[in-house]
Amino acid sequence: MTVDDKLMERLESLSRLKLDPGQRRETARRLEVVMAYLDKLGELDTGGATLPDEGGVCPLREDVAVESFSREDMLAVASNTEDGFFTTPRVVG
Amino acid sequence: MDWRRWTALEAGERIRRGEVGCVELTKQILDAVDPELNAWATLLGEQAVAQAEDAQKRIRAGEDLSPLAGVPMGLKDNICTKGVQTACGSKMLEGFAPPYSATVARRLERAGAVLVGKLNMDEFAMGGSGETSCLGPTGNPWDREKTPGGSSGGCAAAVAAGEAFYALGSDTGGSIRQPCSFCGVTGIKPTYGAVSRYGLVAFASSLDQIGPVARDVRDCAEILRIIGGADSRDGTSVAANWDFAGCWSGDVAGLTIGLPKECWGPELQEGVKIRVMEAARQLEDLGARLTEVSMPMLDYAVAAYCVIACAEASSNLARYDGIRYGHSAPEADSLEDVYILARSQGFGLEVKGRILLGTLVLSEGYSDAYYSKALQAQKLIRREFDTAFQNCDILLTPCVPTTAYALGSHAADPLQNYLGDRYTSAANLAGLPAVAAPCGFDEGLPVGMQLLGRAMDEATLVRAAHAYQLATDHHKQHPGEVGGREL
Repeated sequence: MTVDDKLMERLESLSRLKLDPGQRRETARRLEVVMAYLDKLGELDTGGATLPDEGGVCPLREDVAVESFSREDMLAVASNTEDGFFTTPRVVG
Repeated sequence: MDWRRWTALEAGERIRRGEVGCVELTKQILDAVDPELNAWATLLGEQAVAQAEDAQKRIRAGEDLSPLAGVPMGLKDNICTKGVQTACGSKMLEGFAPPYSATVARRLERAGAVLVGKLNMDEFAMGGSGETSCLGPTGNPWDREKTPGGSSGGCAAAVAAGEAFYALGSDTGGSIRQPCSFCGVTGIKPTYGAVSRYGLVAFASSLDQIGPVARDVRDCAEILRIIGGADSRDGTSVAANWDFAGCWSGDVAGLTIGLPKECWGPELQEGVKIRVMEAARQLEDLGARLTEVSMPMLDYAVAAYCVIACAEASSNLARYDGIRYGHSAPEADSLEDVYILARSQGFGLEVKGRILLGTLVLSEGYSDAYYSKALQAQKLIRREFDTAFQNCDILLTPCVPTTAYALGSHAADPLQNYLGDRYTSAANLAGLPAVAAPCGFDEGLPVGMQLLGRAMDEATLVRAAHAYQLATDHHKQHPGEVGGREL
């Protein structure tokens, strides 16, 4: 697989990342190497194996209201807060 | 007192008998830390001493704690600790002090453990050499120019160097076992669900497990006993009713050990092969029966692991948005830029690469060929383990194809790090428990073997590893004696 600029731009956009030209070149090279290796999955005869369903049953519990974190504690680790809320640049005109 | 040679249980026993104090031992550990080794991300200093004083009071008061009460230890820096920086080796979480502690941290605290600090690691647990940490690489105590392995490299290096009696690491594709192998210490990747991940910073949620790193498997079993079991805060956790009582006789008679014939190919360093085969013969001498098994799907484990782990990472790491916690970019003037700048500035190149790879294998036009196929391979790998365990009780393989390699030597080849997980990643894909234990040396560097078992059958692995460690002394060797730094 060729990882060209167009594909890198698409992946960066989907990932909310922006690489500088040097990082992009190096990352594209590394992706090509890894993807070439991953192509071995295509050689595998999975015999029509369906997707995994053998993991057992996820145990469920009652939905019980318990004390959670305080708003202050949660906001204390954020960079930008105001009046008990996270703040971001304005998103509507 | 040659306290650096004590196991964690031995240290706990001496504390209970009053031969040594928790505070004294904690101070000795803090004094012993070598900054050049770079095993620690955060050292707690006075806070650790205060915790040791508290543990000592609780022990004197006769509180029913645990055999490890008062023993100094470390946690990998992706295990949340309330009020103590948990940065995952990443600029993204620099300065982040979580408002809560992981369940494993709380369980250890309740058992009287003394937290000395947080241990250096590959960024977000992505890497096998310790070199992707924004704090710089950790050295291998046996040879400072070599990698300690990763991603729990700080854990294994600290335990090997005598800077902690034990540590908790995390293992997504081999991240506990590979560094244990490189540093000559013992570790366990528990069965998926056996140990709560509440408070573990997520990498690949269907594969991640927390487990112990220690000087021997008896310590590891005791740590598991403390941290294991169901937790209402982790929906994937289950009860772990391990009974290790029958594990300490040194007897492996009646145990059948399978040797997968696919694990001894040309990729395996000759010296590693010799040591691991010697370990197999040793277990046979102790009464086990060896049998060859065939597991051709193991050849696809690294590819399936790589796809699934990166896919899950791309999703898990979407939470770093520059808003709620973690690095933010004050210069951002639009919401889109808040995301993009924080992520682009906060993540290192290895993490970015894995996010992009995960995004690629999940995206339209690629997901059928890669992600769906990897899930199918995972299912076939699980079936193959089921079949193998019809003919044997446990499996024995090398842990890693090589001994520790030179720092920087794999930097240009992105595949090498993944291929280091050749023997370990299948256990994560199948959710099975595995032990890494020292089994000798090759050119002065430790060699590790891996024992794999049935789901929730950690006890059989512990029994076999303990029998081996009773009969050998590889796990008792110290870096100071074989060419590392003199202690």
